[in-house]
Amino acid sequence: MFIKLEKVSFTYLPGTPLALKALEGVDLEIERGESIGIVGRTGCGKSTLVQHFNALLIPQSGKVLVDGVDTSEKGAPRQEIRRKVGLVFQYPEDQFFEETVFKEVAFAPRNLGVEGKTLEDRVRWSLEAVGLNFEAVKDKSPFELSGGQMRRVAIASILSMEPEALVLDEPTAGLDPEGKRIILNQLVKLQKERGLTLIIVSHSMEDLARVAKRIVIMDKGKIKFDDDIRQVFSKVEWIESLGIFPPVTAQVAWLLREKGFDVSLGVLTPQELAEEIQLKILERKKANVG
Amino acid sequence: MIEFKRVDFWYGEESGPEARNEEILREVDLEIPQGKFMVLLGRNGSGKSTLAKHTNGLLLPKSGEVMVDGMNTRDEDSIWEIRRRVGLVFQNPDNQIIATTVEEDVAFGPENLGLPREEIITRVEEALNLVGMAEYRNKEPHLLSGGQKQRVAIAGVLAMHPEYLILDEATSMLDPEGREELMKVIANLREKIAVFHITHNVEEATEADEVLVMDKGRIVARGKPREVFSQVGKIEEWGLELPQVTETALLIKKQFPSLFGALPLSPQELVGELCS
Repeated sequence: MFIKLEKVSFTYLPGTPLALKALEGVDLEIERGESIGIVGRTGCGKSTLVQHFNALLIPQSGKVLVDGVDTSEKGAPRQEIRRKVGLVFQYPEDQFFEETVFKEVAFAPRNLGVEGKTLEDRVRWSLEAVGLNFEAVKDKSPFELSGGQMRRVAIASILSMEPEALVLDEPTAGLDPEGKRIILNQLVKLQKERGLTLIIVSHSMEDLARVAKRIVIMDKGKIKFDDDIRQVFSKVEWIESLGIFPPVTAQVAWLLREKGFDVSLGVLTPQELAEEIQLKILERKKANVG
Repeated sequence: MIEFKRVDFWYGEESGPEARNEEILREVDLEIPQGKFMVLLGRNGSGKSTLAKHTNGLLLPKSGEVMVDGMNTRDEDSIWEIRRRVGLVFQNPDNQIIATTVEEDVAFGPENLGLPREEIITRVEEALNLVGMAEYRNKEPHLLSGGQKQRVAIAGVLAMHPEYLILDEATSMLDPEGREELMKVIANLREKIAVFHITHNVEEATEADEVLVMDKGRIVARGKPREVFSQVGKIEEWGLELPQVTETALLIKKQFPSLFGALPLSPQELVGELCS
């Protein structure tokens, strides 16, 4: 098991009148190479949860194990944990501070002592991994890039530490459809080709439908549901009570079911839905002929 | 009516050819009539927010004019009346609330108009009812969800009795419920005032009276949602995507060309056609 949470609880400002319980007895296991979507209303504890994955937060009770190492133990190698599990915050480009894209992406590995040709190779690989042309962007100021490109540089600046897992908090927020598509495609590629573990916090079920295999739904600091993405999205009515609206395609499948079309629920993309419907139309035509 | 007449805009003071290469708005002609729900789509950097900031004189055109109900946004004597009539709500719910209770926040605008106390109370009440936040009037804004904060920000604008509400990606930072709440508020305001909603979410455009598309500083398409989304080949060129229902229908149409004379935009329309 790569990341394992056992009965993790966390409260902000404990013992004060402003105490806010963010996580309550959370159990979760994440295998290497998985792609997981973490969803739930604003304030349900998603961001608090993911900050436990790389020891930015240490559980107040319970245990977090990353690659077998207990993050709360004295002398736990937190720097190494943070290298292994890279965390990309919301609107990460707000934190840019270097003059060039190269320096921005090189910052973390350089701090880890990587230099020279190895450093350059790392930066090149990271930028290419997010679909940017190394030569074209390396000397630019990160601030002259488009919104979508900035977001990709921010992701590259985490990839340059060669993490084994990438945790992204709302990676497509504020991006246009094109910017979104590029980022999601590159993430899928990294997961498939490099075996990178992907953990994505998102409000967009359409986005997760393109990337994730498993969905964890949180509500008021607890995990309410944890299953295969198709299972989750086929329970349309039930998950709506947790503030989750399944992708439009799953909603259509649900409506068709109600009208007596026997389509599978939990269809994730327009392609899948179209195939499913075409099949049913053909079946009906055959039945009519017969 | 808000009218843009051949508006050009670029950032900075220079006006040489180089500055003009960086033009953000290029010869924009646009009419925003009263009472309509319009949605503006376009990729990042296409000029949408810059356009929004021209509607009430936050930015002034480098050439061309913006007129609000006959008043020019360059006219300093009219600017306060223009800003009363045209209210803007921005992306980040945390940046737009200033007071310590919901009620006080909504009252801020009308107080500055120097209205009598009774009138202010009536307006605040009315505005909070329009956005469904009346029961939160005494709450501290920081305790609200993102969607609730945006509704309070909208109420603050409504309390000015505006003619036009401009939403600049006001839904983009919200969770699905917050989004839905905000779309309900828009539906509720329909025909009462004009709503001009800028978004990346094409699903939100399917309900509009009119959809506009911007690309590279120009308005490149304008029409009813179905007309705009029927220009399938252009959608990608503009950096947009089709509503998923429309995309599904097009895929089905490849095998069954007789289906979907009019492309469906909502799940109900798609299912309706299939079941008929």
